[in-house]
Amino acid sequence: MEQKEIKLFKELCKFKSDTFDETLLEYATAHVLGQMFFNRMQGVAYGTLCRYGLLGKVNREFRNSLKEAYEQNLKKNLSFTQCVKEITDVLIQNECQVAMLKGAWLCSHYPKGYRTSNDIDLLVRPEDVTAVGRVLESIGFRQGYVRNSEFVPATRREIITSKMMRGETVPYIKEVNLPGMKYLEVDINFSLDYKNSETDVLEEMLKEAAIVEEKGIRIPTLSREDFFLHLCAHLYKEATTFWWVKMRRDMTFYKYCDIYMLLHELSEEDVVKLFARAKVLGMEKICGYAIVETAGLFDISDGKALQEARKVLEEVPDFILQVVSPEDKKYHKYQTKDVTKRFFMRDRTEDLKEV
Amino acid sequence: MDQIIEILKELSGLDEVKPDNHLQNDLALDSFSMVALMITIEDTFQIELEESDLNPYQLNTVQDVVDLVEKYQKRE
Repeated sequence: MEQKEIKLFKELCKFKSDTFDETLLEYATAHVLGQMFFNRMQGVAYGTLCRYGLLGKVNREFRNSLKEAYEQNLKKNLSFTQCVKEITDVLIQNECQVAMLKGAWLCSHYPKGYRTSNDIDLLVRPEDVTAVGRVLESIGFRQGYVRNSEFVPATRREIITSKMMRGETVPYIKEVNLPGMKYLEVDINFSLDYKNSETDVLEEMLKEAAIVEEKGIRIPTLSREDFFLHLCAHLYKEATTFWWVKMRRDMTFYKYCDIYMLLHELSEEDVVKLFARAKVLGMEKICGYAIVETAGLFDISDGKALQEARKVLEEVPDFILQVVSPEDKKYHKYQTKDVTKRFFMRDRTEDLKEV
Repeated sequence: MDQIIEILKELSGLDEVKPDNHLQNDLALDSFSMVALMITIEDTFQIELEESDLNPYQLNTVQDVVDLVEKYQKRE
Protein backbone atom coordinates (compact mmCIF):
# COMPACT_ATOMS: atom_id res chain seq x y z
CA MET A 1 0.00 0.00 0.00
CA GLU A 2 1.12 3.55 -0.70
CA GLN A 3 1.92 5.86 2.20
CA LYS A 4 -1.15 8.01 1.53
CA GLU A 5 -3.37 4.92 1.49
CA ILE A 6 -1.92 3.87 4.82
CA LYS A 7 -2.56 7.36 6.16
CA LEU A 8 -6.17 7.24 5.01
CA PHE A 9 -6.67 3.80 6.55
CA LYS A 10 -5.44 5.12 9.88
CA GLU A 11 -7.41 8.36 9.61
CA LEU A 12 -10.64 6.42 9.09
CA CYS A 13 -9.89 4.22 12.09
CA LYS A 14 -9.20 7.12 14.48
CA PHE A 15 -12.83 7.63 15.41
CA LYS A 16 -11.91 9.44 18.63
CA SER A 17 -9.83 12.06 16.83
CA ASP A 18 -10.98 15.67 16.55
CA THR A 19 -9.59 16.23 13.07
CA PHE A 20 -9.69 14.55 9.66
CA ASP A 21 -7.37 15.22 6.75
CA GLU A 22 -9.79 15.44 3.82
CA THR A 23 -7.00 15.56 1.25
CA LEU A 24 -6.48 11.84 1.87
CA LEU A 25 -9.91 10.92 0.50
CA GLU A 26 -8.61 10.73 -3.06
CA TYR A 27 -6.69 7.65 -1.89
CA ALA A 28 -9.90 5.76 -1.08
CA THR A 29 -8.82 2.76 -3.13
CA ALA A 30 -9.69 -0.91 -3.24
CA HIS A 31 -6.54 -1.53 -1.18
CA VAL A 32 -7.78 0.64 1.66
CA LEU A 33 -11.26 -0.83 1.43
CA GLY A 34 -9.87 -4.35 1.53
CA GLN A 35 -7.79 -3.55 4.61
CA MET A 36 -10.91 -2.15 6.30
CA PHE A 37 -12.82 -5.38 5.78
CA PHE A 38 -9.86 -7.67 6.52
CA ASN A 39 -9.40 -5.87 9.82
CA ARG A 40 -13.11 -5.63 10.70
CA MET A 41 -12.93 -1.84 10.70
CA GLN A 42 -15.60 -1.14 8.09
CA GLY A 43 -18.19 0.04 10.63
CA VAL A 44 -15.72 2.41 12.27
CA ALA A 45 -14.64 3.80 8.88
CA TYR A 46 -18.23 4.48 7.85
CA GLY A 47 -18.94 6.10 11.21
CA THR A 48 -15.91 8.36 10.81
CA LEU A 49 -16.98 9.45 7.32
CA CYS A 50 -20.49 10.19 8.61
CA ARG A 51 -19.20 12.11 11.60
CA TYR A 52 -17.21 14.51 9.42
CA GLY A 53 -19.90 14.73 6.74
CA LEU A 54 -17.51 13.28 4.17
CA LEU A 55 -19.69 10.63 2.52
CA GLY A 56 -20.24 12.80 -0.54
CA LYS A 57 -16.52 13.37 -0.94
CA VAL A 58 -15.50 9.76 -1.28
CA ASN A 59 -15.96 7.59 -4.38
CA ARG A 60 -19.20 5.67 -4.74
CA GLU A 61 -17.87 2.11 -4.51
CA PHE A 62 -15.91 2.89 -1.39
CA ARG A 63 -18.85 4.67 0.24
CA ASN A 64 -21.50 2.10 -0.69
CA SER A 65 -19.45 -0.89 0.40
CA LEU A 66 -18.85 0.68 3.79
CA LYS A 67 -22.50 1.73 4.09
CA GLU A 68 -23.76 -1.77 3.41
CA ALA A 69 -21.31 -3.25 5.88
CA TYR A 70 -22.28 -0.69 8.51
CA GLU A 71 -25.97 -1.49 8.07
CA GLN A 72 -25.21 -5.17 8.37
CA ASN A 73 -23.28 -4.38 11.55
CA LEU A 74 -26.33 -2.61 12.99
CA LYS A 75 -28.46 -5.70 12.40
CA LYS A 76 -25.83 -7.96 13.90
CA ASN A 77 -25.48 -5.66 16.91
CA LEU A 78 -29.21 -5.89 17.64
CA SER A 79 -29.20 -9.67 17.34
CA PHE A 80 -26.07 -10.00 19.41
CA THR A 81 -27.40 -7.71 22.15
CA GLN A 82 -30.53 -9.84 22.37
CA CYS A 83 -28.35 -12.94 22.77
CA VAL A 84 -26.18 -11.30 25.44
CA LYS A 85 -29.34 -10.40 27.39
CA GLU A 86 -30.72 -13.93 27.18
CA ILE A 87 -27.47 -15.59 28.17
CA THR A 88 -26.99 -13.13 31.03
CA ASP A 89 -30.48 -13.84 32.36
CA VAL A 90 -30.08 -17.59 32.31
CA LEU A 91 -26.62 -17.45 33.89
CA ILE A 92 -27.85 -15.18 36.68
CA GLN A 93 -30.91 -17.38 37.29
CA ASN A 94 -28.62 -20.37 37.70
CA GLU A 95 -26.23 -18.45 39.95
CA CYS A 96 -23.28 -19.04 37.62
CA GLN A 97 -20.26 -16.95 38.48
CA VAL A 98 -18.99 -15.86 35.11
CA ALA A 99 -17.54 -12.82 33.42
CA MET A 100 -18.26 -11.98 29.81
CA LEU A 101 -15.15 -10.88 27.94
CA LYS A 102 -14.28 -8.85 24.87
CA GLY A 103 -17.10 -8.37 22.35
CA ALA A 104 -19.97 -9.13 24.73
CA TRP A 105 -19.36 -5.81 26.47
CA LEU A 106 -17.46 -3.94 23.77
CA CYS A 107 -20.20 -4.22 21.14
CA SER A 108 -22.53 -2.27 23.43
CA HIS A 109 -19.83 0.16 24.50
CA TYR A 110 -18.79 1.23 20.99
CA PRO A 111 -21.08 3.54 19.00
CA LYS A 112 -23.72 1.38 17.28
CA GLY A 113 -22.53 -0.44 14.17
CA TYR A 114 -18.84 0.05 14.89
CA ARG A 115 -18.01 -3.37 16.27
CA THR A 116 -19.56 -6.77 15.91
CA SER A 117 -18.99 -10.14 17.46
CA ASN A 118 -20.14 -13.61 16.56
CA ASP A 119 -19.47 -15.18 19.90
CA ILE A 120 -19.77 -14.63 23.60
CA ASP A 121 -16.66 -15.43 25.60
CA LEU A 122 -17.25 -16.48 29.18
CA LEU A 123 -14.54 -16.62 31.82
CA VAL A 124 -15.28 -19.20 34.51
CA ARG A 125 -13.42 -21.04 37.24
CA PRO A 126 -12.09 -24.42 35.99
CA GLU A 127 -14.35 -26.28 38.43
CA ASP A 128 -17.42 -24.49 37.03
CA VAL A 129 -16.89 -25.44 33.38
CA THR A 130 -19.26 -28.41 33.53
CA ALA A 131 -22.01 -26.58 35.41
CA VAL A 132 -21.96 -23.60 33.02
CA GLY A 133 -21.92 -25.99 30.06
CA ARG A 134 -25.01 -27.74 31.42
CA VAL A 135 -26.85 -24.45 31.82
CA LEU A 136 -26.10 -23.66 28.17
CA GLU A 137 -27.27 -27.13 27.12
CA SER A 138 -30.51 -26.59 29.02
CA ILE A 139 -31.37 -23.71 26.68
CA GLY A 140 -30.51 -25.54 23.49
CA PHE A 141 -26.76 -25.14 23.04
CA ARG A 142 -24.72 -28.10 21.82
CA GLN A 143 -20.97 -28.50 21.62
CA GLY A 144 -19.73 -28.47 18.08
CA TYR A 145 -18.61 -26.42 15.13
CA VAL A 146 -20.17 -24.50 12.27
CA ARG A 147 -18.84 -25.88 9.01
CA ASN A 148 -20.12 -24.70 5.65
CA SER A 149 -22.83 -22.75 7.45
CA GLU A 150 -24.15 -25.88 9.15
CA PHE A 151 -23.83 -27.07 12.72
CA VAL A 152 -21.74 -30.19 13.17
CA PRO A 153 -21.84 -31.74 16.66
CA ALA A 154 -18.47 -32.46 18.24
CA THR A 155 -17.55 -36.09 18.80
CA ARG A 156 -16.53 -37.24 22.25
CA ARG A 157 -12.96 -37.58 20.96
CA GLU A 158 -12.99 -33.95 19.78
CA ILE A 159 -14.29 -32.73 23.14
CA ILE A 160 -11.65 -34.70 25.07
CA THR A 161 -8.82 -33.78 22.70
CA SER A 162 -9.66 -30.07 22.77
CA LYS A 163 -9.76 -29.97 26.56
CA MET A 164 -6.75 -32.22 27.22
CA MET A 165 -4.42 -30.92 24.53
CA ARG A 166 -5.34 -27.29 24.04
CA GLY A 167 -6.99 -26.53 27.37
CA GLU A 168 -10.10 -25.32 25.54
CA THR A 169 -13.69 -26.41 25.63
CA VAL A 170 -15.35 -27.08 22.29
CA PRO A 171 -17.65 -24.09 21.58
CA TYR A 172 -21.31 -24.25 22.57
CA ILE A 173 -23.46 -23.39 19.59
CA LYS A 174 -27.16 -22.70 19.13
CA GLU A 175 -29.09 -21.96 15.98
CA VAL A 176 -30.69 -18.61 16.78
CA ASN A 177 -31.76 -17.54 13.28
CA LEU A 178 -31.63 -13.84 14.05
CA PRO A 179 -30.98 -11.12 11.45
CA GLY A 180 -27.31 -11.30 10.47
CA MET A 181 -26.73 -14.14 12.89
CA LYS A 182 -27.76 -17.71 12.14
CA TYR A 183 -25.76 -19.30 14.94
CA LEU A 184 -24.59 -18.01 18.28
CA GLU A 185 -21.36 -19.40 19.68
CA VAL A 186 -20.46 -19.32 23.36
CA ASP A 187 -16.86 -20.05 24.32
CA ILE A 188 -16.09 -21.09 27.86
CA ASN A 189 -12.63 -19.95 28.97
CA PHE A 190 -11.25 -21.25 32.22
CA SER A 191 -7.73 -19.91 32.03
CA LEU A 192 -6.09 -16.64 31.13
CA ASP A 193 -3.86 -16.48 28.12
CA TYR A 194 -4.60 -20.18 28.00
CA LYS A 195 -2.05 -21.30 30.57
CA ASN A 196 -3.50 -23.30 33.45
CA SER A 197 -0.72 -22.15 35.71
CA GLU A 198 -2.31 -18.71 35.84
CA THR A 199 -5.26 -19.84 37.91
CA ASP A 200 -4.46 -17.32 40.63
CA VAL A 201 -4.85 -14.43 38.21
CA LEU A 202 -8.11 -15.91 37.00
CA GLU A 203 -9.37 -16.27 40.58
CA GLU A 204 -8.27 -12.73 41.38
CA MET A 205 -10.07 -11.36 38.32
CA LEU A 206 -13.26 -13.32 38.92
CA LYS A 207 -13.36 -12.11 42.53
CA GLU A 208 -13.63 -8.54 41.23
CA ALA A 209 -16.16 -9.37 38.48
CA ALA A 210 -19.58 -7.74 38.69
CA ILE A 211 -22.73 -7.10 36.70
CA VAL A 212 -22.47 -3.77 34.90
CA GLU A 213 -25.10 -1.91 32.95
CA GLU A 214 -24.07 -0.78 29.48
CA LYS A 215 -26.63 1.23 27.51
CA GLY A 216 -29.48 -0.49 29.35
CA ILE A 217 -28.07 -4.00 29.08
CA ARG A 218 -26.90 -5.94 32.11
CA ILE A 219 -23.61 -7.70 31.48
CA PRO A 220 -21.63 -9.76 33.98
CA THR A 221 -18.04 -8.80 33.30
CA LEU A 222 -14.64 -8.05 34.77
CA SER A 223 -13.74 -4.87 36.61
CA ARG A 224 -12.74 -2.01 34.32
CA GLU A 225 -9.01 -2.51 34.91
CA ASP A 226 -9.17 -6.28 34.57
CA PHE A 227 -11.23 -6.06 31.39
CA PHE A 228 -8.58 -3.81 29.85
CA LEU A 229 -5.77 -6.09 31.04
CA HIS A 230 -7.51 -9.15 29.64
CA LEU A 231 -7.77 -7.43 26.25
CA CYS A 232 -4.06 -6.61 26.45
CA ALA A 233 -3.21 -10.23 27.25
CA HIS A 234 -5.35 -11.49 24.41
CA LEU A 235 -3.83 -9.04 21.94
CA TYR A 236 -0.33 -9.84 23.16
CA LYS A 237 -0.80 -13.59 22.90
CA GLU A 238 -2.07 -13.49 19.34
CA ALA A 239 0.44 -10.88 18.12
CA THR A 240 3.43 -12.72 19.53
CA THR A 241 2.65 -16.34 18.71
CA PHE A 242 4.36 -17.56 15.54
CA TRP A 243 1.46 -19.69 14.36
CA TRP A 244 -0.88 -16.68 14.52
CA VAL A 245 1.63 -14.63 12.51
CA LYS A 246 1.71 -17.41 9.94
CA MET A 247 -2.11 -17.50 9.79
CA ARG A 248 -2.16 -13.68 9.37
CA ARG A 249 -4.41 -13.37 12.37
CA ASP A 250 -1.80 -11.89 14.67
CA MET A 251 -2.46 -8.18 14.25
CA THR A 252 -6.09 -7.74 13.24
CA PHE A 253 -6.68 -4.02 13.66
CA TYR A 254 -9.97 -4.17 15.55
CA LYS A 255 -8.14 -5.52 18.61
CA TYR A 256 -5.92 -2.45 18.67
CA CYS A 257 -8.96 -0.27 18.11
CA ASP A 258 -10.53 -1.73 21.29
CA ILE A 259 -7.46 -0.61 23.24
CA TYR A 260 -7.47 2.78 21.45
CA MET A 261 -11.07 3.43 22.45
CA LEU A 262 -10.57 2.44 26.07
CA LEU A 263 -7.33 4.43 26.34
CA HIS A 264 -9.31 7.56 25.47
CA GLU A 265 -11.56 6.95 28.43
CA LEU A 266 -8.78 6.67 31.00
CA SER A 267 -8.01 9.63 33.22
CA GLU A 268 -4.50 9.98 34.67
CA GLU A 269 -5.83 8.55 37.91
CA ASP A 270 -7.29 5.57 36.00
CA VAL A 271 -3.91 4.92 34.38
CA VAL A 272 -2.22 4.83 37.79
CA LYS A 273 -4.85 2.34 38.99
CA LEU A 274 -4.49 0.27 35.84
CA PHE A 275 -0.73 -0.13 36.17
CA ALA A 276 -1.03 -0.82 39.89
CA ARG A 277 -3.46 -3.63 39.10
CA ALA A 278 -1.21 -4.87 36.28
CA LYS A 279 1.64 -5.07 38.76
CA VAL A 280 -0.42 -7.12 41.23
CA LEU A 281 -1.38 -9.54 38.46
CA GLY A 282 2.10 -9.68 36.92
CA MET A 283 0.80 -8.22 33.66
CA GLU A 284 2.71 -4.93 33.50
CA LYS A 285 4.80 -5.77 30.44
CA ILE A 286 1.84 -7.19 28.55
CA CYS A 287 -0.14 -4.05 29.34
CA GLY A 288 2.81 -1.91 28.24
CA TYR A 289 3.10 -3.91 25.03
CA ALA A 290 -0.54 -3.42 24.04
CA ILE A 291 -0.45 0.30 24.79
CA VAL A 292 2.82 1.00 22.97
CA GLU A 293 1.78 -0.96 19.87
CA THR A 294 -1.66 0.68 19.82
CA ALA A 295 -0.10 4.12 20.23
CA GLY A 296 2.16 3.39 17.26
CA LEU A 297 -0.71 2.31 15.04
CA PHE A 298 -2.93 5.24 16.03
CA ASP A 299 -0.12 7.82 16.02
CA ILE A 300 -0.54 8.61 19.72
CA SER A 301 2.63 10.28 20.91
CA ASP A 302 1.88 11.42 24.43
CA GLY A 303 -0.29 10.81 27.48
CA LYS A 304 0.08 9.22 30.88
CA ALA A 305 -0.74 5.69 29.66
CA LEU A 306 1.97 5.76 27.01
CA GLN A 307 4.48 7.20 29.49
CA GLU A 308 3.77 4.40 31.95
CA ALA A 309 3.86 1.77 29.22
CA ARG A 310 7.24 2.96 27.98
CA LYS A 311 8.53 2.97 31.55
CA VAL A 312 7.67 -0.70 32.17
CA LEU A 313 9.28 -1.69 28.87
CA GLU A 314 12.43 0.39 29.38
CA GLU A 315 14.51 -2.50 30.66
CA VAL A 316 13.22 -4.98 28.08
CA PRO A 317 13.37 -3.09 24.76
CA ASP A 318 13.12 -6.32 22.72
CA PHE A 319 9.89 -7.39 24.42
CA ILE A 320 7.88 -5.62 21.71
CA LEU A 321 9.69 -7.46 18.93
CA GLN A 322 9.61 -11.01 20.24
CA VAL A 323 7.50 -13.77 18.76
CA VAL A 324 7.43 -17.24 20.25
CA SER A 325 6.70 -20.59 18.72
CA PRO A 326 5.43 -22.60 21.73
CA GLU A 327 5.48 -25.97 19.95
CA ASP A 328 9.25 -26.00 19.46
CA LYS A 329 10.03 -23.29 22.04
CA LYS A 330 11.80 -21.18 19.42
CA TYR A 331 12.06 -17.43 19.75
CA HIS A 332 11.95 -15.05 16.82
CA LYS A 333 12.57 -11.33 16.63
CA TYR A 334 11.14 -8.73 14.26
CA GLN A 335 13.80 -6.78 12.41
CA THR A 336 11.42 -3.88 11.79
CA LYS A 337 10.71 -1.78 14.85
CA ASP A 338 8.07 0.50 13.34
CA VAL A 339 4.72 -1.09 14.12
CA THR A 340 2.94 0.53 11.17
CA LYS A 341 5.52 -0.84 8.74
CA ARG A 342 5.18 -4.26 10.36
CA PHE A 343 1.40 -4.09 10.24
CA PHE A 344 1.25 -3.44 6.50
CA MET A 345 3.81 -6.09 5.53
CA ARG A 346 2.53 -8.68 3.09
CA ASP A 347 4.05 -11.49 5.12
CA ARG A 348 5.36 -10.65 8.58
CA THR A 349 7.09 -14.00 8.99
CA GLU A 350 9.65 -12.79 6.43
CA ASP A 351 10.68 -10.05 8.86
CA LEU A 352 11.26 -12.52 11.72
CA LYS A 353 14.68 -13.90 12.56
CA GLU A 354 15.17 -16.83 14.91
CA VAL A 355 17.12 -15.85 18.03
CA MET B 1 -7.40 -50.72 39.80
CA ASP B 2 -6.42 -53.82 37.79
CA GLN B 3 -8.29 -52.70 34.71
CA ILE B 4 -6.64 -49.30 34.84
CA ILE B 5 -3.21 -50.87 35.26
CA GLU B 6 -3.89 -53.02 32.18
CA ILE B 7 -4.96 -49.97 30.15
CA LEU B 8 -1.80 -48.12 31.19
CA LYS B 9 0.43 -51.10 30.40
CA GLU B 10 -1.08 -51.16 26.94
CA LEU B 11 -0.64 -47.41 26.42
CA SER B 12 2.89 -47.22 27.82
CA GLY B 13 4.16 -50.50 26.43
CA LEU B 14 5.61 -51.35 29.87
CA ASP B 15 5.28 -54.72 31.57
CA GLU B 16 4.94 -53.28 35.04
CA VAL B 17 2.86 -50.31 36.19
CA LYS B 18 2.51 -49.29 39.84
CA PRO B 19 -0.01 -46.96 41.53
CA ASP B 20 2.65 -44.40 42.43
CA ASN B 21 4.09 -44.27 38.91
CA HIS B 22 4.04 -40.82 37.34
CA LEU B 23 2.11 -40.81 34.09
CA GLN B 24 4.50 -38.56 32.20
CA ASN B 25 7.82 -39.20 33.93
CA ASP B 26 7.61 -42.96 34.56
CA LEU B 27 5.19 -44.14 31.89
CA ALA B 28 6.22 -41.53 29.30
CA LEU B 29 2.61 -40.76 28.36
CA ASP B 30 2.47 -37.77 26.04
CA SER B 31 -0.58 -35.58 25.40
CA PHE B 32 -1.87 -37.93 22.67
CA SER B 33 -1.62 -40.89 25.06
CA MET B 34 -3.46 -38.90 27.72
CA VAL B 35 -6.33 -38.34 25.29
CA ALA B 36 -6.33 -42.04 24.46
CA LEU B 37 -6.35 -42.83 28.19
CA MET B 38 -9.43 -40.71 28.80
CA ILE B 39 -11.29 -42.20 25.84
CA THR B 40 -10.42 -45.76 26.87
CA ILE B 41 -11.49 -45.08 30.46
CA GLU B 42 -14.86 -43.73 29.29
CA ASP B 43 -15.42 -46.77 27.06
CA THR B 44 -14.24 -49.35 29.58
CA PHE B 45 -16.14 -48.03 32.59
CA GLN B 46 -19.13 -46.65 30.65
CA ILE B 47 -18.79 -43.19 32.14
CA GLU B 48 -18.72 -39.70 30.69
CA LEU B 49 -16.06 -37.57 32.31
CA GLU B 50 -17.01 -34.00 33.07
CA GLU B 51 -15.03 -31.27 31.34
CA SER B 52 -13.72 -30.10 34.71
CA ASP B 53 -12.04 -33.50 35.10
CA LEU B 54 -10.43 -33.47 31.66
CA ASN B 55 -7.44 -31.67 33.04
CA PRO B 56 -3.99 -33.17 32.43
CA TYR B 57 -2.56 -30.99 35.21
CA GLN B 58 -4.70 -32.80 37.77
CA LEU B 59 -3.72 -36.27 36.62
CA ASN B 60 -0.17 -36.92 37.70
CA THR B 61 0.02 -40.49 38.93
CA VAL B 62 -1.67 -43.83 38.24
CA GLN B 63 -3.45 -43.44 41.59
CA ASP B 64 -4.95 -40.12 40.38
CA VAL B 65 -6.52 -41.99 37.45
CA VAL B 66 -7.86 -44.67 39.79
CA ASP B 67 -9.33 -42.01 42.11
CA LEU B 68 -10.97 -40.28 39.16
CA VAL B 69 -12.70 -43.45 37.97
CA GLU B 70 -13.79 -44.37 41.52
CA LYS B 71 -15.36 -40.93 41.90
CA TYR B 72 -17.66 -41.67 38.96
CA GLN B 73 -18.35 -45.26 40.02
CA LYS B 74 -19.49 -44.08 43.47
CA ARG B 75 -22.03 -41.78 41.84
CA GLU B 76 -23.82 -44.69 40.15
